[in-house]
Amino acid sequence: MKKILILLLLMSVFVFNTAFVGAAAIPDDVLVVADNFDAASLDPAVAYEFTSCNTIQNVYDNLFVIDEGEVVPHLAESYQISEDGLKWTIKLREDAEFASGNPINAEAVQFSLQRSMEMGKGPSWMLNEVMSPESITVVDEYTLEIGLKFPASYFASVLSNTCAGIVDPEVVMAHEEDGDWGEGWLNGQSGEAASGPYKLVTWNRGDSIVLERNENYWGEKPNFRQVIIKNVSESVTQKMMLENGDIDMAYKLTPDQLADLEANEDLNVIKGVDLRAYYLGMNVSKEPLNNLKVRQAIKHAIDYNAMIEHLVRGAGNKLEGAIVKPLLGYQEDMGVYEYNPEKAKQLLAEAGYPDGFDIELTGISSTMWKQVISSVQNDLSAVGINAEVRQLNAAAFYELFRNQQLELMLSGWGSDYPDPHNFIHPFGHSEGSLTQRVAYSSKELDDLIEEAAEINDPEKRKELYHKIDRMLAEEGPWAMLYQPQNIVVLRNEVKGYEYNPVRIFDFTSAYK
Amino acid sequence: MKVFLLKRLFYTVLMLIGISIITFTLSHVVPGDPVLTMLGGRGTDEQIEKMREDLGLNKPIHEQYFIYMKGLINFDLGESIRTKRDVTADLKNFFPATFELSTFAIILSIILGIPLGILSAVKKDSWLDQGARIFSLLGVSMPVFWLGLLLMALFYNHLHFLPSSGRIAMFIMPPRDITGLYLVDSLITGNFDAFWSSLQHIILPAFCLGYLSTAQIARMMRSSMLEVMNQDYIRSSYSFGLSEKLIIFKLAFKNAFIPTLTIIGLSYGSLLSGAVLTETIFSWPGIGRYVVESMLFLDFPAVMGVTLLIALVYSLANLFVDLLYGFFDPRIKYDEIN
Amino acid sequence: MEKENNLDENEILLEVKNLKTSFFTYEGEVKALEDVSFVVNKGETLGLVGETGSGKSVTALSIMKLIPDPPGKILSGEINFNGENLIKKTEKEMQDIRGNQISMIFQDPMNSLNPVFDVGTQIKQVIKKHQRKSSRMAKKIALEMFKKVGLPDPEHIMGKYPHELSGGMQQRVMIATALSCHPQLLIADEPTTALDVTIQAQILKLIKNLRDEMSSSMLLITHDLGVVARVCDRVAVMYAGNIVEYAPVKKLFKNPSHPYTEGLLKAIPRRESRGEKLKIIKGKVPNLITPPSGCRFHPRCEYKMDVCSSTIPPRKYIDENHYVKCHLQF
Repeated sequence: MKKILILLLLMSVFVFNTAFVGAAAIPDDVLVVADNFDAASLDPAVAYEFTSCNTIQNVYDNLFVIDEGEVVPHLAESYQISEDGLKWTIKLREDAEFASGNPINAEAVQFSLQRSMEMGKGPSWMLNEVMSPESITVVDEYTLEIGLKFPASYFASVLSNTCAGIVDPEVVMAHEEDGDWGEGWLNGQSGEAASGPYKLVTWNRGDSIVLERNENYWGEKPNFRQVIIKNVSESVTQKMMLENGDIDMAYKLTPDQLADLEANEDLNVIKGVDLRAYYLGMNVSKEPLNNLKVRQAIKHAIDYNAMIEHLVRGAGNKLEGAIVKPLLGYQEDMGVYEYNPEKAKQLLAEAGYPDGFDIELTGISSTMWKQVISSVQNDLSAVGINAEVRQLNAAAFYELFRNQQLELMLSGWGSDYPDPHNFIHPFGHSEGSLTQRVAYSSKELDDLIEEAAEINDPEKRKELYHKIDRMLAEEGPWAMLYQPQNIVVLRNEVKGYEYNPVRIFDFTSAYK
Repeated sequence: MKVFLLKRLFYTVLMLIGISIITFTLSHVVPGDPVLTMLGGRGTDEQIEKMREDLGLNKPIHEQYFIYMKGLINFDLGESIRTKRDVTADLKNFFPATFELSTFAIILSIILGIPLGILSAVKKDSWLDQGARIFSLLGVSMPVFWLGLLLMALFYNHLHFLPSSGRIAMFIMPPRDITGLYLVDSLITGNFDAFWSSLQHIILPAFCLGYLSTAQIARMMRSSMLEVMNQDYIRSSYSFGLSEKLIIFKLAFKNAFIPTLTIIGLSYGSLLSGAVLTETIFSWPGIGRYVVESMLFLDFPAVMGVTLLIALVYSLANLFVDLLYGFFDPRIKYDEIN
Repeated sequence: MEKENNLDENEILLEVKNLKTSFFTYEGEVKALEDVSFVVNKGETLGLVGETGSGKSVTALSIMKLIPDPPGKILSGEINFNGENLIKKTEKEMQDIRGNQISMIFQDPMNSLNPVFDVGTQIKQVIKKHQRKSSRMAKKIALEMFKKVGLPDPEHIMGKYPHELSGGMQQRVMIATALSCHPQLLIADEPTTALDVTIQAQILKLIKNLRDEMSSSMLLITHDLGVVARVCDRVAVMYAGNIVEYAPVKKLFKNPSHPYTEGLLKAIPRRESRGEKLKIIKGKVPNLITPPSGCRFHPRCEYKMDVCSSTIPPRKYIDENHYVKCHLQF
């Protein structure tokens, strides 16, 4: 017995003392970041989750990118829009190559866009909405012509999405199996099909993604030779690893950790806007939400600032309209509705509900939503509205949502492409992804939204969006709760990182 | 023996069919739609319709089931709706990590739980016994999540003894993939750096995962040891002048181990299927998170695949346990079992 | 008390003197042995008789120092074996004595053999422990012992598990194991009680023969005076933790001096008393947490006097080899 104990003791001493084989400091040309993986596929035509999209922005280049809120040509050198706005002629830069050394030419772009559209996976709708696979024609080696279904002025913004990322047709099709457009292969690696600053070398599912610098990249070469994206699911673990220097950056820290993190002198805390809006939806096909006064009462009943203060410790911005910061048309203080329970009660009385009413309030089951739901429930009951709360799993929630079966619902909307249209259309147009779920429809809004989508002049467009957003705030079926912020924390050794809300994994300018 | 094995395999197949029907039905009758979940409320009706058709979701449920079973006979588990890969590939990816973790955890539980149980039985009511009882009580009552964070805060954050997450250090290449079990593969290939690193990485999660079963094993071992030590044959062993060591660790142990073996078999099943929380805390790239995400997604091919695989491994493990009974207790005759 | 007997000291193998053993339970102290004294001479068999619960087995286990502690404890007295006091021996020293110099066989052979080891392993480990023999030698000795106790086909039996053997065979295995190291003293605790009536006589005969063959001494615990008459040289009658009468067998049967012994003898069915009603001792064995004051037998005694409930009767020697603890004899 004693012998066994001694043996065990010796073994543990050995294990502990050789502690951390390879826990050596991270080399200067390697960046290690932690995220909570939700990636399902890293194929640009399929990827539709945060980790996957953020990651492959580094791997597949786009015709246009977003820089400081502006859509700017990237692989495209210049572009022309026809008079009627229906034909885009895009001239590519001629010095760009894939990692394979093949030229990034008009054919490659045509192939990549067609591939996404034909495969028809998650994100493909945003391409298919504005164009069709046949409408892309190669004019010459470096020139493309794309015909649109309607004059979508935000088309460049759509082209900045990962599903419009450019892949090397030759490399991808060499791995095609049973007409899968190479999806099986591209799912977990880029190989030499990469067009961006990094190649996707390995994806150890559930563990890590390894990116390596693409030496053939035409643009500014990133400083880090290698980027390792580690899956660290728990925010508590991320914090410990960050404090111990086992990772350089962390992306899934939570607001309740902010005070600690900000007090740590080794760390640099960035709170950047997230292109996302949390909302309370009101189904206008249900009594009494069809009553405008009731909807306005509800909008006045919720204590938005308290929610931002307590639920996310200030890491959020107040919203009234659907357009989030810093997109075109965002307005800081619209002044249409704010927390005012007295006014809410008065509006309810005017609507004929002086004693309030009973209603269902549904949300997705998660810790975060649980807090939001009970906060909203409390605020509603303070003005006499008795909300019966339900939390459903996402699958069940979306099914009921889609069938207009929810009364009051809480959810969020994140951007697909950084353009106000991506918020105004779903929240305002009667055929929008969200609006139709609450049976809201306004001919006037529909017309204005369609009009705004076709305007090329930014100033005119902004003016129109101000008007639409205000109408939506006044009459619409949404009480916008807040726009959350991304908490990105870096160790001080990492310098030069610039937060870009649509490319939060952009490490090109960062260095150690 | 042969008859017994054949019978058991036959029952295993029956059980798997039963499980497949239940899981399939459940994952189809729960409200919700995988396509809608995938799109998170976005997408046009045509796109949704096309995606549903691609996935065969428009067919009646029994037809879908037969299509699934036809694939299963050819070892084709279908394609995951969420990851768009063959479920077989996903399982191959995630399952070895869970298998390694649960197996290591059960071995750790046995190594810790059995001596603990024996010692606290032999030194009944001593401080050691009291300590072991508190240890066991904590094991049965402490939430895994809390335990995991506690362990990590202590051994990683304060003492810097052990790493916090993952299966292997970031800058050590995982061993060549033979079995998918890092500890085994690194030994086979003689890659000792990888072996030590994997060992260090597995200790905390395995301890956290196995704590409850360690406690259960220790408790069972203690009570059955106490019972055995009161048996006449132990008294007669003492009367023959045999040493206490031999009596406790061989003669009594072999008797007392049999009920503990049952607990071990059951524990192993719950370790396999209950690894989710531990895997989340320690970012262990196992099947736990995969199956939770698949469930939320109503990704039924993935859920089916995981359920069937775990059921299969579990029943094989219990078959192994049943065979062990025969080793420990000669009174058991397999072919008389109906 | 002064001198216990006049036999030559050299011939004494085991001398138990004023042994007092108690069990400390939650209900209280169970005074299992109050004052036990007797002698077993070399080559002699002492019978220990009494009702269930009288303390026969506790006496045996006390000699072996196998009283489970806790709750049991030998409080005082001496157990001199070959002139050495076993009470002063360490556990380690006792291990070398048990199974080697003093062996014990128990009432229930089925439960006395370890169910999960084959009987060959069980006897071999005892031989190996005490005789430091190789496995092969141990096996040879084991086979010889099995032959000696009359097990058919010993080689075959070696590989059997207890549950595969009949009760009689199990007890033969136990006897073989107990005697494998030629102990000087064999303690047999009701060795035939659990067996079929037909087997009982065989086993008893076997024990007797082996005792004679090995010229061992024996302490035979039984509640059957018939067995005592056949096997023993002397007999000690136990009641409620005391030896109430201690005498050579013939004397005891001829001249029972304690009312309890008398009662026991009357309870034996005899040929000459056929047709008469058997006499049964009235009442039951007392609770030993709160034993009766004075003589522990007095509540059941036909000859009870006033002194019986107040004073513990001293040991009274009727002659050198015969004592009795009873007030009647004064």
